[in-house]
Amino acid sequence: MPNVVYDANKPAGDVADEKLSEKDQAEGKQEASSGEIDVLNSVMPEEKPQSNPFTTFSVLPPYIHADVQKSDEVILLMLRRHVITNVGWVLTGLIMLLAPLVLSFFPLLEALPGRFQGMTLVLWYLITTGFILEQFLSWYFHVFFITNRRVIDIDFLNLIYKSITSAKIQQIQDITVRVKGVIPSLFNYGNVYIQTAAATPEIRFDKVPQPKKAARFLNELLAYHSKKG
Amino acid sequence: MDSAPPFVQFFTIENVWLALKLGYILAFLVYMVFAVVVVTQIRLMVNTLHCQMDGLIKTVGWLHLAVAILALLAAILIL
Repeated sequence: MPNVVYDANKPAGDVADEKLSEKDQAEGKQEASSGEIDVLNSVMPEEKPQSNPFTTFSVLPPYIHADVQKSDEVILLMLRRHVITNVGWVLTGLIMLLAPLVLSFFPLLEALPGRFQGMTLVLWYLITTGFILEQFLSWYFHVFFITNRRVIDIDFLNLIYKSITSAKIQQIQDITVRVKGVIPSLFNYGNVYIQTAAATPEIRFDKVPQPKKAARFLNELLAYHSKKG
Repeated sequence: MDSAPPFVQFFTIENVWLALKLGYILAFLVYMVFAVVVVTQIRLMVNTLHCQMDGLIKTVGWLHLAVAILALLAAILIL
């Protein structure tokens, strides 16, 4: 294992070692991923693995595992949409929660009997809860992975339909970063477009934080794989 | 009112409340189905992506369904 040094109590290299030693050392996984971890270390020496479950950018995420991961596959970088992209639905949710206060100024339900008024409020708060839950789940489970073998986009397009798109690192042909607009520039998030020679011609990391850094890492990883053959 | 056509005679105050009650029950029923779908969706998501919040998210989904069922029962009993 090469020297992987992170300035933290629990360095990324150590976390990688632990993760690998759990079940994969026997399969030679450690050896297979050590070069990629070196690349990660060189591109993002200051980044540490994040144990925060709501993190949007984490190298070697310690508690995350995807069912599409292969036995010799290590998640090197995990990305989610930037937290700031949730502001829209959070505000909408707050407005929905506070909307019944309007009834004290405009008694819109006055014509209904008391029991109907009560159940209308119950229904309204249920719909609000459902809206907030759906939006949160949609954000939380829409993740992008860069592993030592592939780039993976896991998305749940609607209630019961999931979409998993992946391409091997060697199949990447072009990587483009787009940070468009005042707010994305201010909060440093944007899209990473990955053109591939795989069945899916393009994989898009949507509104992810530090897109340039992610793209640079991908480029370095691609160069490493090309060199390795 | 006796001379009014049967369609108009249907709109007595009792029938209007009954129709409204059925409408509310239908809305709560639809919401309960939605809550079942959310539980299914959470199961699918958690099976696809394992993380440390799995248990909490599943619990929230089941609680949401329980509240939806209670609200449906309340609508049937109260309205």
